[in-house]
Amino acid sequence: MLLSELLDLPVRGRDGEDLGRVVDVRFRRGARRGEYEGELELIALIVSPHSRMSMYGYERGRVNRPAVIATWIAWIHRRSRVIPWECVQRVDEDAIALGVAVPVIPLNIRRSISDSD
Amino acid sequence: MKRATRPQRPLEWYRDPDGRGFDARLELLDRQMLDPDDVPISTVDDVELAGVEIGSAVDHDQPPTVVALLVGAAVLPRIFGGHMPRSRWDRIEWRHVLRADSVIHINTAADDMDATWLERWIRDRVIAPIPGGRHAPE
Amino acid sequence: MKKIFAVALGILTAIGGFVDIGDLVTNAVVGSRFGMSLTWVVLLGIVGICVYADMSGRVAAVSGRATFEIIRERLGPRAGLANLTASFLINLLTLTAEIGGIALALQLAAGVGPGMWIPVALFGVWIVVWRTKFSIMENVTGLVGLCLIVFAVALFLLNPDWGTLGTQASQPWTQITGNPLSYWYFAVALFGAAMTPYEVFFFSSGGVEEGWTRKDLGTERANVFIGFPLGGMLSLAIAACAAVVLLPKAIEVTSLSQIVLPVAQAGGKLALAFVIVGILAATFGAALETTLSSGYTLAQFFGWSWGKFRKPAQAARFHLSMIICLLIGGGILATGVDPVAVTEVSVVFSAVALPLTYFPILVVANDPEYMGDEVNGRMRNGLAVFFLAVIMVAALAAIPLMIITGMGS
Repeated sequence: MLLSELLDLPVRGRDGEDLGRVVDVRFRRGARRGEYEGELELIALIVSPHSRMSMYGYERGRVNRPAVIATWIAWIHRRSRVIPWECVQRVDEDAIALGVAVPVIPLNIRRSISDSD
Repeated sequence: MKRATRPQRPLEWYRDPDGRGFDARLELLDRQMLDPDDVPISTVDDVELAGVEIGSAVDHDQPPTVVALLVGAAVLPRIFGGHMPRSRWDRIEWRHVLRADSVIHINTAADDMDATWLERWIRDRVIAPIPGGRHAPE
Repeated sequence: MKKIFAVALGILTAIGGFVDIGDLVTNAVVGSRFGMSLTWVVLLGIVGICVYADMSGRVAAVSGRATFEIIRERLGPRAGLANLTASFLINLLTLTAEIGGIALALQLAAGVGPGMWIPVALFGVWIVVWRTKFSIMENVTGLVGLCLIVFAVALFLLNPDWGTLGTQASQPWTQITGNPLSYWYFAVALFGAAMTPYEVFFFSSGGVEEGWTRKDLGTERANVFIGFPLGGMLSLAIAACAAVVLLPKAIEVTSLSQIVLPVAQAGGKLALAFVIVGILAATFGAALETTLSSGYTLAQFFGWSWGKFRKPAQAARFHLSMIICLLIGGGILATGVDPVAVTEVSVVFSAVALPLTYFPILVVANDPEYMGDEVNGRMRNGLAVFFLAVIMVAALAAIPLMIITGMGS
């Protein structure tokens, strides 16, 4: 499967509710193999209920200037969240279906995680 | 076949997995690939994943991994939609990647890869025949 | 000592290379119709391009990456392609205008043409792109372009009423006759002429071509903050000459002959020779830059091997795309279209394309991943955001103004 086929797919919760669209896919870099990069393991999906636009790195906490643009992009992606891959039950051509109830993990690391859905 | 479960790890780990987080669209897709001599090869036009397929339930025994980077015509479906048949993929396997930072460093010389055939074709057929094509500018 | 020489060379090249056919035509037209009352736009444009050229140059020096590579990374291919298409087409239009400018200058010199000069111009531009080293190309066209200083000399020889010029500049509203929208149309056109997108592409790619590193930031800043403003003064000199000679007689600018008339009037045949050489160098240099820019934008977007520092055989698609662009530009001119008209259209569309180029540069210049600790400071960001707003206003207003005023008539 191609990464581009995962991106922009709608994500549906266990009860069919619309959680947003996949805007990015998070991997974990495995240990390096000598001179080479290690394996990339898929661990989570980044899902945004509001916008499919590219985020320019602002929401990952690395870029926060100029303030005007950072604020605007933060507002566009205000409820973006991280959905662990373990919660995904199936991937279809038109949507991704979760199999379990998933806790809300806000994408913005400056927001704390609460345990309610 | 392992089914979907609640997250097994502390939730914070999904935001920062041991400092090894890597977001594919932000950091891999559309990045420049360079060969060992810093010659540009192409941009990363798509990424091939193994361990997940469209139209089937996900098996959580193993996490999906990146197996190859696609170049060339692979950019077209991303702009115009549609799917490109597997046989047409120009692939550079992940095992060739030395380092992925602001550019992706590949271990094979640009000329030696199948995926860069178009550049060689234009070089041999169009540019080299023009006088001076093989010389450094002066 | 060698360092001072290099810095001086860079500054002089920046001055001589600042003016292109768009600046020549637009400033002369404005001077002949509105006197100096649009001076503030030129000054605004100069500051704007300084801010953005410095950012893109800094990005190139610190990250080693050129603008369009980063545009695709940050915007993704769909938006990046839209950006590329628009920028590329406008660049192509500007290229056509510059080739036309070369032909016009040769016509002025030889008395015949301009049609017959088009293949000469195309071949000349191509052979330099094909064979000549980047630095030689830049330095020669930049230094010879300094001949345009004759406009400033001519201005003094004409002994103008400085008071009138000053009043026109500082009280612009006194000069607006006829449709006020025309004034604003030309304001946008002049802004587009001063802040042409290809300058920024070229500057950043040129930085990579010349292998700039952090050590070269001082040189880069000198080029930008001393060279560009002085080059901008030349633009004002062109406008002032037109204001002094053409405006009182209501002479309309339709070709290069009217643009150089003040110089010929002030200094005779010798001055005329200088100005023709200067125009030739400026348009030739700009044609080289726009041709290379079209190659840069395509190659950087698709990730091809690029650069004049490589043999053509090692950057095959890069060179092929430039050859095709030159042929398209030549083809457009071969239809007999008036190069001056092409120029006037190209500057307006340049204004429309500005946000596409400048917004990604602003974003990248703030990204620590590319810039390390050389990210924009607060003041630079403040200025940059201000100019982004101005650019957006100009871009949105450009086409409606063009239609409503019928291109300023």
